[in-house]
Amino acid sequence: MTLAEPLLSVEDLVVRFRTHEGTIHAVNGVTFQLAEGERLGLVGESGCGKSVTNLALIQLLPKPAGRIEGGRVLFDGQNLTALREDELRAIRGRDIAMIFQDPMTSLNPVLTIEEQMVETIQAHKDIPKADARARAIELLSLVGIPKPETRLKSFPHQFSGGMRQRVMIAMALALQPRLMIADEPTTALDVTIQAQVLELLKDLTEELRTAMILITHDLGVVAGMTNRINVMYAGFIVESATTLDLFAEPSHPYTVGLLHSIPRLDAEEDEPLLPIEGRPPDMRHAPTGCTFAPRCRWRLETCWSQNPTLLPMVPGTPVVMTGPTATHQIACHNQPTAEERVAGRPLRPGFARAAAPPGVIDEVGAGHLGGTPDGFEGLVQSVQAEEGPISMAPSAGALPLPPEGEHHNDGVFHDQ
Amino acid sequence: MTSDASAVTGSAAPGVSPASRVPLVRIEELKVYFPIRDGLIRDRHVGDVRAVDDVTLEVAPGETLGLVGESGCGKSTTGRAIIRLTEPTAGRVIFDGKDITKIKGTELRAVRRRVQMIFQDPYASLDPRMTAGAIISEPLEIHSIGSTADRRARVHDLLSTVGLNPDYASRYPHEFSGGQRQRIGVARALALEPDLIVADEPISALDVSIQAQIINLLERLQGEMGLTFLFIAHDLSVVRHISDRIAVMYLGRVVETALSRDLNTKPLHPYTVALLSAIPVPDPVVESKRRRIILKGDVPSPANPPSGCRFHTRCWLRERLGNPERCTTEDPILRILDTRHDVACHFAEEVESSTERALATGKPVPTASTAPNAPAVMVGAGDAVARPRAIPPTAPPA
Amino acid sequence: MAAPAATLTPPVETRASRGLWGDALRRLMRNKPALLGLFFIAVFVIAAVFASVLAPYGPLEGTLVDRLQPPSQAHLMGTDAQGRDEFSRVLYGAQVSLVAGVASVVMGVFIGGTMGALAGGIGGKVDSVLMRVVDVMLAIPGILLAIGIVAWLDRGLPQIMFAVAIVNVPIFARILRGTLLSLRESDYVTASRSLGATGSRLLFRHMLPNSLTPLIVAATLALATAIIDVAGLGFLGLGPPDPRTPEWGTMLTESTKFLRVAVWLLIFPGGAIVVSAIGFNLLGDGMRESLDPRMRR
Repeated sequence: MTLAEPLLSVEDLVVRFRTHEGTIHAVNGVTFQLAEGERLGLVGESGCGKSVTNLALIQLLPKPAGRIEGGRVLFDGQNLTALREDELRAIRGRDIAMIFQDPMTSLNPVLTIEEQMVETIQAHKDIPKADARARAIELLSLVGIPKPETRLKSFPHQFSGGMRQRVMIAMALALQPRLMIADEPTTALDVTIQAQVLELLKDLTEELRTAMILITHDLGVVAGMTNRINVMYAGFIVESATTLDLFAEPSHPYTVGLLHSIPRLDAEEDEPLLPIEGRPPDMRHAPTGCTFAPRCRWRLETCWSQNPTLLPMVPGTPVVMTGPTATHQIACHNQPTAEERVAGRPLRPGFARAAAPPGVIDEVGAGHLGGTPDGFEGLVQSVQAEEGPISMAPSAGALPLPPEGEHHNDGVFHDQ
Repeated sequence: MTSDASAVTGSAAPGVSPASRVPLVRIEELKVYFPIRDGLIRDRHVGDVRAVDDVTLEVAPGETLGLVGESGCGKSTTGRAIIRLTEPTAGRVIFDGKDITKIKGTELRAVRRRVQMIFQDPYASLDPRMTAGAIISEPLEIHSIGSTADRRARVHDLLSTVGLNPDYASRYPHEFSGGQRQRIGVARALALEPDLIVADEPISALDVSIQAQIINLLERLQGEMGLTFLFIAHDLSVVRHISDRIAVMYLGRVVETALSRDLNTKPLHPYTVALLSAIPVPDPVVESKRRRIILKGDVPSPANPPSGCRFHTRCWLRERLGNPERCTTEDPILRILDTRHDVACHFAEEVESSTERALATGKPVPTASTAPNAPAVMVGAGDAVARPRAIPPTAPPA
Repeated sequence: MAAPAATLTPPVETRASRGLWGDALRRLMRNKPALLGLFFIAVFVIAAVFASVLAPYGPLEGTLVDRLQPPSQAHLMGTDAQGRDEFSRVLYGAQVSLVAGVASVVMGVFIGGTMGALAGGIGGKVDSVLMRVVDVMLAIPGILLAIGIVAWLDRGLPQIMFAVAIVNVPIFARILRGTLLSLRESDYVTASRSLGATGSRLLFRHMLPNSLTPLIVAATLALATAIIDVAGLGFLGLGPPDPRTPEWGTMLTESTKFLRVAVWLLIFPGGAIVVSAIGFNLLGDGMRESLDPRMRR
């Protein structure tokens, strides 16, 4: 427990993308903090805003479409949103480092590893080239690259995926940053390689006391790598807790739904899955009401019109934002009970999910209290006051962005 | 222990042990090599990428066989070779008793009616210039089945079957989400009422919450239509959930096949053990207690596989046993070690008693788990003592 | 539209898709440079089609008395060395350019497209042979090739059209072949193959419709260069043998003699060439963006 300023403080961050198709409300008011040396996981599916939040942190949103339209980001007391580009450049790399999902696109394919690493080091430290080179070799061996002196001369494409990611990590840690942001660092890797890279990441950040934000969709990965977790959905944080608390008492219907829809190695293999019905929302609409309502089994009438705020699970408890005693917070009008969490659906006698108002598509299958066996989607339920034909908008994952906001679909994935 | 019949969940076949029935598809000593050409003026054949190098497998009717492995192991190529989308370099593919390895033309087309494929990328597997209805009715058109009106009705039915509003038949693929497109792909695969469906990573490109929907859809369809599945994926948790039996591949070879339950509780190949230990489990308590087996180095290139056992360069067991010669000189063959459990390893017996396996799998599950409401015991990683699981089995839907 | 409170819920979209071409058209209409290009082209086409109506004088009408007059109310673009109204000649010249440009590109697409389709569709030896032919054609600089062809065939407008067509053939051949080759490996073609589709079905039902986009874009851009090429060949004196025919290129040739006294004779036909070429370029670029069936996730 420390009374010192947190290393990173994000306050009410709002990010929007202005495109000719309309405005995309990517991040809708996100608040969280990170202490020195702490590891935070940002978990969610594509389009939830986790990657955008991080790009916004270090002011790397694609311009001119992407803009921070509210809130601020305080790093070590400094407001990053108010800094000039050259001041930001000093911070990037030296204090905050980032590694991405696909090292092939974040490493320059026409430069050798040596050139890239030495360049990074010398950009922030005025040391002679020979020293920078020695440091590069040191880093490469730190991340477990065999024969680093010879591999310095290699090009990125001469490394395998796992090796490239290690090089990325080496470069990111070159200047011993205070904060490392890892955006889906292992999604494109085979599971055995993923284990290697995650272990490396964990050991190094612990050793160097680097704080880390780990962005991923994989609940298994965050379980082993983080101290705290923020679960994001449609640009909001819907649940925030320490890792132990989150898995011991997952409370938001979305978190509960996610945990019930993943096949687990430690479960019976024919344990039926309880998928979350429906699809992620279209981020082109400004949020009114709870963004998860169309897919939520616990929804009430007020969920359609009132967006719940992130509040402590036990009302009235003081909010601790960081550390092992961080408060378990959740944004929900109708929290599942302990038995319901375990069952994955509402169990209260007489509880019926609130119907959808006219003109709105109810993603949860018609007439089933506990959810249909496989979650039919696209079945339009109630009376629809539609003018004109409905067109199914592409999934909210379809942000018009370069690969940062997505995982999986970039062709680098398992090629067999 | 459960009988073979009940282990084959979702099977439409009556309680006859699948092992005694004629397999629906059998591949024997299948090899698929892709030539590497090099040279300035003329392309010389300098080597081969041995994507599939002597694989023998069979799938019983009504069964789901999971084919799992990491990139470069040859699982997708195997699936494609069965449908003859990739030509086998050697070996045989036998479908319903008939050798289809070399057939062509109308004969091949007749077989194609009975074997269909679901592809990985829902964004690339649908022709962007065709409506959903046209895509689904294409197989019917190709094989001249039914009149236009019949086909339209069938498309309507298929769309409902896979959970899509039939009115959307006139929409184009880009108007659908990833999960919906994948459902269209499934509908297309079902149009001809095939016997076998090869699903090549059907859910890898989808969001987690949508993956579960598709998994359930496939399971339901299998139960209702008596389909046989070859489910190819890299995610062992998913494969384990949906398959009756699993074959693990490494670098073009099958290293282990077993019932999915057994693969998880008693893996016998060091690679399988490493694979299991590498998969993260969404439970921080379990994760903190786990000791992973970290394999060294990268997967060797399929163009230049290691001598002897292909896994020997990264094998933890070999290191433990003091680097025996045999691993580098002799290629292990698949041998039967247990009921419906084959392993290709010279020292598989050592695996059983190793601490690594105990760390990766925990204790096996006692028989009480077959009762639907009994608290199941967790097959947790790292725990010496099995403890009750946080999420008990869900009651059957109302 | 009765939009209720919870507007975040998916996806009652604002507009339905009007089919792929409808969507593409809508996207095109939003593209300002493309609209500008479309405007230029419209001017050009209207000039060509309605030349006889719009032109105040005939293209061959003129007396030496009125020669080399600067632009005035009577002669909007002045008169040329024979006293003919430049404005009317530019309008009639548009006819020639339009016809010649379109014809040569259409010819080029047919010949080149067929070659590309055969090469990409059949593959093997056919592919190698055809592509070597294309390589040879590409080895010779376009304008020289065109000059060579016209020199061989004797001067004239049809000959120019043919020459420009031939110069464009390798481009279209390569585009179509490349597109077909990459489409052959795409998942949906593989899917159809696995369903039992025959080769011709794959080609005509799947691959060719999806190859149209790059071809259309290339054709539009080629129109721009074709107009310039036709004028260029005319300028070099390889155009219609009758010097009285209004053709922008030959008009430019004449203007070179009078640059210092009648610069308008260069500006107006030259400007017409530039404007029409820019128009097709802008439209082509706009089409490239809007024709992609937008499916990136």
